[in-house]
Amino acid sequence: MRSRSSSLSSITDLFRPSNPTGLRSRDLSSTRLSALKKEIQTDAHLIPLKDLYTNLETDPVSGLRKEQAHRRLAYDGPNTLTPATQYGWPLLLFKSLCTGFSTLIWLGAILCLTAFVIERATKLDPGTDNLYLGCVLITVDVICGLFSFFQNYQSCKIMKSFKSMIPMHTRCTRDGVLDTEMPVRDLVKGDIVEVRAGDVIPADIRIIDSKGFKVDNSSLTGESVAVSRSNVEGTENILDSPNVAFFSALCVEGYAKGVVLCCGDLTALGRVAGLAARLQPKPSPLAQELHRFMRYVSVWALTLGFVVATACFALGYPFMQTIIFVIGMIVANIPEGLQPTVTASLTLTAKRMVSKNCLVKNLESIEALGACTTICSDKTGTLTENKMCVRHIWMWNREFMMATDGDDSMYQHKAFEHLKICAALCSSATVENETIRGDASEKAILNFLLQFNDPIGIRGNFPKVAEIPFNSVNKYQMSIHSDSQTKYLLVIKGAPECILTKCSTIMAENKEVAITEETAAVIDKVIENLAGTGERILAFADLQIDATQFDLNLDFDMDEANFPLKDLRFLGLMGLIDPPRKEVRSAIEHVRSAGVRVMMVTGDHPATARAIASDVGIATQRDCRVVTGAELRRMTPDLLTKTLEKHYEIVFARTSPTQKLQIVEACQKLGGVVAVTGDGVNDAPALKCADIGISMGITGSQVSQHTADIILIDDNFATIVVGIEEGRKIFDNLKKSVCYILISNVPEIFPVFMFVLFSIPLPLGVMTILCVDLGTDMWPAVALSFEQAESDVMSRPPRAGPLVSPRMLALTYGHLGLMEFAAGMFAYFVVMAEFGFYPKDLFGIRKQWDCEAVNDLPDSLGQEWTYWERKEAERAGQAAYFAAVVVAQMTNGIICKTRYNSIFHVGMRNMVLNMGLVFELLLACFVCYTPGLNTFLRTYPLPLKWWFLALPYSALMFAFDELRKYCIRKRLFRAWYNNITLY
Amino acid sequence: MQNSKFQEFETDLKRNQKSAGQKLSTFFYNEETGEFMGRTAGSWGKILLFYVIFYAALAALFSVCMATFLQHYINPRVPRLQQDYGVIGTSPGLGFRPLPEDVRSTLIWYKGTGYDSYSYWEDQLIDFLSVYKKKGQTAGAGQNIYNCDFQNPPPPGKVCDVDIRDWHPCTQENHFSFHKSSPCIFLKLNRIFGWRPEFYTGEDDLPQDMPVGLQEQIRNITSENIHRGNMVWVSCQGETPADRENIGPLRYIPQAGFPGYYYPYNNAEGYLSPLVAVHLQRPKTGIVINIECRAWARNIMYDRKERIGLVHFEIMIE
Repeated sequence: MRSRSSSLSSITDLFRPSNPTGLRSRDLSSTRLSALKKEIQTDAHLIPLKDLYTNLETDPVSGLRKEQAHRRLAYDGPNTLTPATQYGWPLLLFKSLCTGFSTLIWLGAILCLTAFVIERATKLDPGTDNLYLGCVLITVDVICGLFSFFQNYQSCKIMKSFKSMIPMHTRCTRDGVLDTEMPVRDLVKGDIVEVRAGDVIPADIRIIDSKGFKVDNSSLTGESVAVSRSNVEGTENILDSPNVAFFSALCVEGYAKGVVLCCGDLTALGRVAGLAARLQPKPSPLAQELHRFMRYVSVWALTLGFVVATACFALGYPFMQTIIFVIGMIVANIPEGLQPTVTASLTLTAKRMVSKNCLVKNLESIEALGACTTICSDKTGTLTENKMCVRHIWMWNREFMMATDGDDSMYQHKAFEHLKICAALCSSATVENETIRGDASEKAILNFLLQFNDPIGIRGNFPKVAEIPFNSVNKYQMSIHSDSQTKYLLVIKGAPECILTKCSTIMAENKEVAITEETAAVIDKVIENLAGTGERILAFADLQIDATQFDLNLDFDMDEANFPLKDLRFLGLMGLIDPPRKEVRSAIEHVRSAGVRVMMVTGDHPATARAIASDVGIATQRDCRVVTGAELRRMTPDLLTKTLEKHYEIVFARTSPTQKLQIVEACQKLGGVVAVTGDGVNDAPALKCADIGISMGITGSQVSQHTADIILIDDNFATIVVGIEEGRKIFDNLKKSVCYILISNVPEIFPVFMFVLFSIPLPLGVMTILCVDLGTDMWPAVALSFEQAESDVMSRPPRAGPLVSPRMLALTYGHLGLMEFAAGMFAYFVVMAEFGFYPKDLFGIRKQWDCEAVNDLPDSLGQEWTYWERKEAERAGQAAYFAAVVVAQMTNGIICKTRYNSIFHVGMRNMVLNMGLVFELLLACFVCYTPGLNTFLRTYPLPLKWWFLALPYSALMFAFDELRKYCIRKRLFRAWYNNITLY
Repeated sequence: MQNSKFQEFETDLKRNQKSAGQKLSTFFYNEETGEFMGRTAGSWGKILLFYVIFYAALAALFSVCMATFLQHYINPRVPRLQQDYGVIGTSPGLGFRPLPEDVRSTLIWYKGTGYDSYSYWEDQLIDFLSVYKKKGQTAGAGQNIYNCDFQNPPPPGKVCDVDIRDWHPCTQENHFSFHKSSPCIFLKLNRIFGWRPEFYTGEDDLPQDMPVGLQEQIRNITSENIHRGNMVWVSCQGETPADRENIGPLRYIPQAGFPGYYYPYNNAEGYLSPLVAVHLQRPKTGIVINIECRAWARNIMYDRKERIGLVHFEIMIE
């Protein structure tokens, strides 16, 4: 007892407005988060009310004293939800500017500018190349950074939507005076408040006094069922406790007076809100993949840069030259085009998904859906329509299924007429302005009756004389109506077991028969069967009370029961259920065949949950494990993990919002990529924590929609299947794009090695590298994401391999990249030879070549070249190398279209890619032939013939890759080759 | 209750987990499978074999392409792209000798008196001029030499002689006058295959920025003999007004230009670039003098930034 209250006081301290514990703000925030993740531990609903009053220093009649209330308000803060600390946009901008490759590019830019500054300080007329390059790198960085900044800049609107659930005023008693316009934010612990039908509960309150008080807790549990709350003994779990009403719940009926247990962030909803706002979702699987890839590439680039730098210093190269090598290494290694490619393909897919009524708020989540291994689905509102309806009707010896819209035999059943009248009179739902109001089951009954006749008319014919409303003790509702035939009609509706005991006869096909033991057994069996399908069963019975027995003017005394309430006539049973959506079953089948596990996590009853689970195909085997919230509370995290591992089909029922979160976290700990579908506020923390949070567009609450990554606009669960397919396609095609981008890395890296090791003039400049990476390669790389999905995309398990596997590296760096390098070197040597520098004379020439002081460098033919003349030759050579790379990359674009099939089989139907290849060539021409631009980018207007130099190599690459794919398809050499290069 | 629940998982709990170090050592050598770095020796062998064959094939293709190109399209004596068709252009630059040890420097720096100090420069020049002295020993040079004159250009295949023997004081015997703190710097015009200079002929078309001294000289020479004006003229001067003062009087040996009969350069055996020795007669000592030498012909462009038609060097004598 002591420890509990001490933990309560500590959590109270944690959420005081003026950070009292002296923690740094980050520590405080993480402590708060871990405190919020725990289940609520309190005994305030268990101890006798008198003790509670003493604890809270309040009085049930006169309330708190005003000055005390003010003191508490000052100490604990107002009764509002505090928003989580949000990062300002400058920090966000800074972060997006410094993620991934950006840091490396910044490094390159700084090196460039340093080189420029040094050159400027030491030389009379410094070259502007380094300045230009630095500026270009910075531009690239800033553009990429802004790109991801706007993507990240989704301001958290979660708290705002929570706020809209908070009422403005309430009735509160202080100093014995009732204030009816008390601002809710001024409420404090211990206040005595009154709530009436239509009000929103202003804080977590314990009921002192109530009358027919019912609340709709849907904002917390997701189940929009009105439950009664009164001053009774509490149960251990405060969320189920019948003597507590929660902040933000709606009072549907009745009246209550209660004492405030906790306010603001400490209320049950406050915790959910705080959790949802504070949880930092894990980076998406794609982001993780990219991050890992970037880390490897960065290490690789820096290592190469370091090796080259060390080699240069060892060989005695000047500092400036070394800097340029390092820049070259970094720029060549970084796939600058990757981030735009990823974003573009995600954006395009997101656009396509919108046309399928699926709003992708967080772009990366669409790919995560493809990688998803587990879907934790909420039941109510997600798998089901969150609308009760009558599914079964049982009348003597016949069961009718309403989903199939019945057969005529039902109408002929004699009992049906009586059942209709009885049901119409019993249902407490009313029709107002064409909308039906009332409790979900009552609405269902009225809806059902509206299909057949006019229940309102029936009610007019049978004016109500007296009634006993439903209560949890009686478990039935009864009313007496005056019949036009000078009779009274007693109708009763309620739990089957208590109705049945009051009945002596049953309405059979045409006549009334007495209920024998056999009949009772039959009815029991039916009830059991229906209960097994998860339906809520209501029994109906009536009794004609003869006017001769009872005077028409007689007052029925409900408390005395001066009327017969036995020997009733049993009419029939109705099974009510919240039916699963039509499309869900086949969707789940598809999802499961794609290797994705589907679990149900619901706040509803285990039986209902189980029934719906087997209905929609989540539970197909008999041994499907049903774990309830109470069981879950007793489980250690380890045991939960083990349970998840052992049972493939699991249904979690009666779970609280924090438990949903625990389940998601446990699944993630097992290495799964978890999607959560949900519609309620109670799902918000789980939605936020999951890799993919999916909310519903129609039934979903605002909070869940704000938290979710994906919103199914038309609530169609089947869209998830499309999403998985699209997500997998994105990943497959992204592999192709990355492969394409990586191939061109090799001919970008190796020139620097040639330069350092063989001292030939630099075959490819840094600017030209950028032209390839950010120019010509871009469109084809993006266009590869338009490739058709491979046929087996939905029949294989979720991906296991990384984005960039060793096999891909073997293929890109070991095979195709080298061929491209050979093509580039050939073009370079040919061009240099045509100018007069034969290959054998190029080796070792670098030192004089790059020296401005040497004004008369002889070539192989005795001609003497000034510095500027040979730099022109170098430019032409580099441009030829560039052209060769472009031509080879065009071939690669075709090669990368398919990983497995022959290109002749796949065809060239991807028009975006075809145009991309043409664009690549046109852009290369543009870069080479535009005056001014070609000086800036250090390219050269090449004569036509030099464009063809790479063709033999292109042909070789194409032929080689077709052969490779052939070997892979036929699994030649015992599939040895598959293991090496099938990425 | 919890314990009983755990029992059903008891068997699962006992998993053999390896530490990171063990994993690493297993990666390097796995005793169970005999794998080395994740592959068996046989597997590594296959991979090695594959890559050897693959790269050999790639290298072969490259060599075939290169050889075909070099043999069929490249003439070892004539560049495929000449003058404006290539990038070398039609505006030759100038070169100077002796060159400093560090290729990035253009500073000729020595102490006026000590032999040790100027011997490097002297050796450089001796080395540079050796081909001009021992013509008989260079392949083909002896028999190709033709006595050229302004009216008598060399026939195809023949080259003109460059006689540097009586260029006093810029001779080897005189240490190229380095020891007298009045060094001789040799200039040469860059060779461009097939390039013909367009000479300044008349008095009127001499450019405005040509030094007045040179203009006068040209007028004198051309008035004497019109053919002797077929020269690519050379002039040197200090870059800044201060340099112009420090540089002192200059003398061009044998004359301030390259005779036109040396052009065009056709990569003939034994071709020698014509030279001009610039004698700095009384340069100021103890200070760096920036010198710019220009070549003058109508088709020689001048651009100080791109160093077209000129050469720049510094001299410092202590």
